[in-house]
Amino acid sequence: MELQDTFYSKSEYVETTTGNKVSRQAQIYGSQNIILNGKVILQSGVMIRGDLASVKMGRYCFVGKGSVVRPPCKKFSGGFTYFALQIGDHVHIGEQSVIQAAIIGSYVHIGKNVVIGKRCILKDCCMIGDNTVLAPDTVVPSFTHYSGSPGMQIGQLPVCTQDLSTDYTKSFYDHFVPSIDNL
Amino acid sequence: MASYMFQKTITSICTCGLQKLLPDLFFCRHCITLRCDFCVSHEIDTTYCPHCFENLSSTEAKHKKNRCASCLECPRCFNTLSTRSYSRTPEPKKPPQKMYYLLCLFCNWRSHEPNIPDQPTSSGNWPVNKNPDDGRILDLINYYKSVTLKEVFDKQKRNTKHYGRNYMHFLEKFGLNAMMARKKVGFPNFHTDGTGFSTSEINPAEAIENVPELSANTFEDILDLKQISTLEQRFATPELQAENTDDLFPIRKHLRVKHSLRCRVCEHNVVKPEYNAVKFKIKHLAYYYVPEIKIIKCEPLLAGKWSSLVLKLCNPSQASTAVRFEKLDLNAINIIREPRQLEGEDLISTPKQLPEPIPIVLELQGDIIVPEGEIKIAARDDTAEYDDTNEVNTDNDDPKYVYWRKGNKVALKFEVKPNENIKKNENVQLGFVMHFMYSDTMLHVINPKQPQTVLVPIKIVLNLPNSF
Repeated sequence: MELQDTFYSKSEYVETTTGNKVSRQAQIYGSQNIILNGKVILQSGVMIRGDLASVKMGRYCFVGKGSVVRPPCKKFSGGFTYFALQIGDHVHIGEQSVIQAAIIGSYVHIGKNVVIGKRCILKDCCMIGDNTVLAPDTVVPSFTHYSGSPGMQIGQLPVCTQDLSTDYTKSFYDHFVPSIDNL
Repeated sequence: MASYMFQKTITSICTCGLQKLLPDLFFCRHCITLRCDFCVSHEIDTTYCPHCFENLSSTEAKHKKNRCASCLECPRCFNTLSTRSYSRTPEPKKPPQKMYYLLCLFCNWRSHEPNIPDQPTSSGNWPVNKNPDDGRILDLINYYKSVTLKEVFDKQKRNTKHYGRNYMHFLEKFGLNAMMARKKVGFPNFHTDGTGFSTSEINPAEAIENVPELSANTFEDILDLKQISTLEQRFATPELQAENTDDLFPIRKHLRVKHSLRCRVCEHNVVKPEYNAVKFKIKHLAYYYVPEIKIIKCEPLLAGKWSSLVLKLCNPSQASTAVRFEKLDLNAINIIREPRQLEGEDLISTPKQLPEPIPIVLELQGDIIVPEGEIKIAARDDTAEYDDTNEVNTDNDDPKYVYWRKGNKVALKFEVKPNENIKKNENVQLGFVMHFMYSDTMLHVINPKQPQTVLVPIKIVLNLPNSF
C-alpha cells in the first residue's frame, strides 16, 4: 500500500531552511548541542536532551510523538559522564519510545513503545520491533530484526533494506504535508 | 518499511512456486528469472560474533564450536553479559586489587550465583563448565568420522568416475583434507588396498544393573518454582540441563554468518556480501529489476460488482522498460517455462534441475480487467528528484488505463469484481501476470553486442482486504 498523507497544522510546526520540521510542542533542551542535518521531522511531545551531551541526527530522520531522545551516561568510580548520541540518516523512531543509545547507524527502523537502553549500539540496516526493550550495552548487528523483552533477534532483513528504508523515509517526508485549511 | 515486512497485500510467485514479497526475491541475470531463498544455494562467506564483531575463519569457528571466545550470554534471560569491577584489599599493607565479575544488565543475574570466582582481568578467562561426558562424546565423534571415511572409500571403490560438482566446502566438515591432498598429487584417494585407515574401536554403552533409588525428599519437599530452571534455560545448554537456577552457567555467544547466495541452475552468484560492511559485491535482487507494484487507491469491494483499483508501477532500473498484462490462467499456472536465454548466448550447458518445484495451489476469488497493450515506463533518474520540470510524454497513453505518470512511475487503472459468494471481512485474492521488458546491460566478453531485451513474465497475487 502506498503511504497515505499525514497532515499537520502549519502553525504547529517550525520549518527550517534545510527542511527540518520541528513541532512547537517538542521539548528541545540545549539546542546549541543539537544538530539536525535536514529533512528531520520531530513531532509533538518529543523530548531531546541536548543539555546533557550533544545529539547529532542525520537526514530524513523521523521521531514520533512523545518519544525521548537522551544521550547515555556511564558511572565511573569518580562520578558519571554523559556521552554524545549519534543518529545516522534515514532513521525512523516510532511513538512513545525512549532512546538512550550511544550510536544508531543509518537505515534503522525503531517501532513504537520501544526502550533502547543506555550505551546500546545499533548498526546500519537493522530493525527494532514494537514494544521491544533493549537492555543496556546491547549491540544490534546489521540486517537483523530484534524484538521482545529483552530484545532478541527474531528474524533477518532482506538484502535491499538500505533502499527500502531510504524509499520509506523519503516518501514519509514527502507525504508529511500541511493540512489544506491551514495553507 | 515495516509495511514491507508484514503486509502481504501484493506477493509475487517465484519460479519455484513459493509466494514471496518482492524485497525477498532475487533475480538471476543469467537465467533471467526470479529466485527466492529456497531456490538458491547458500554458502557461508564469513563468520562473526554479533556482539564484538570479531571475524573468524571457518576453521577457527569450527574449533571454537561456532561460539565466541570472549562474549557470554546470561543463562537466565539470554541477554549479553557485561563485566563489572570493584577494588579489594586482599591484605592490609598491599595495594588494592581490581576484581571483575559478570552482570546481566537486564535481569541482574551475577556470576556469584553459580559461585564463579571473580577474575583479576576484565577479559575474563571465565571458567567453562565442562560436560562430564566430554571424553566419551569425542570418542564417538572420532569413531563416526572414521566410519564416514570408510564409507567414502567403499563408494569410490565401486565407481571410479569423477564427482562432477566441486564439494570442496564439505572437505573440512568430514575431515577429508588428507584425502584431497593425495588426490591433487595424483595418487588414488586411499591406499588402494584399503589399509590406509582403520576404524578405531569404541566401547559400546553399557546399562547399569543397580539404579540408585530416588530419595524420599524428591517427593516430599515443597518445590520452590523460582529455583527451578525453565525449559528454555535447559535447552540453551543441552549437555548440562541444570535443574536449579543457581547451577546455571553463562553461555558462550553463538556466532553468526554472512551468506553468499548462488543460483542453483547456472551457479552464478546472486548475492555476495562485502567484508565487514553493509555493502555487497554482488546483489542481483528482483527489487532492482522488476517494476515494483503498490496500491494507490481501491474502491470498496462489493460482491459481484466491478470496482476500480489503481496500482502504481515504479521502474527501479536505469533502463526504460515496458509492461504488458495478462490474466492469470489457473490451468497453466504450474507449467514451468524453459530457461530464457539471450540471443547468441549458449544455452546453459545441461541446465541443472531445481529441486522439485512446489505446485502452486491458488484460488482466485474474483475477476480482474487488466490494462491492454504495452505500457512504457521511463528509466529511473536519480536527479529527477531535484527537477521540478520533469514532464513525461503522455501522448501515447490510453487515458482509459493510465491514471497519471511521473518520472519512472506510472499509475494504472484496473477493474476488479469479487465473486458473489465472498464472505465479509475476508481478503479477496486476485491474480494477474505482468510481463516486463528486461534489458540486458551485462558486459559480454566473448561477443560484445548491443543490449538486448527479453520479456519476463511474473505472476502477481493481490490480497485485497474486503473492508477497504
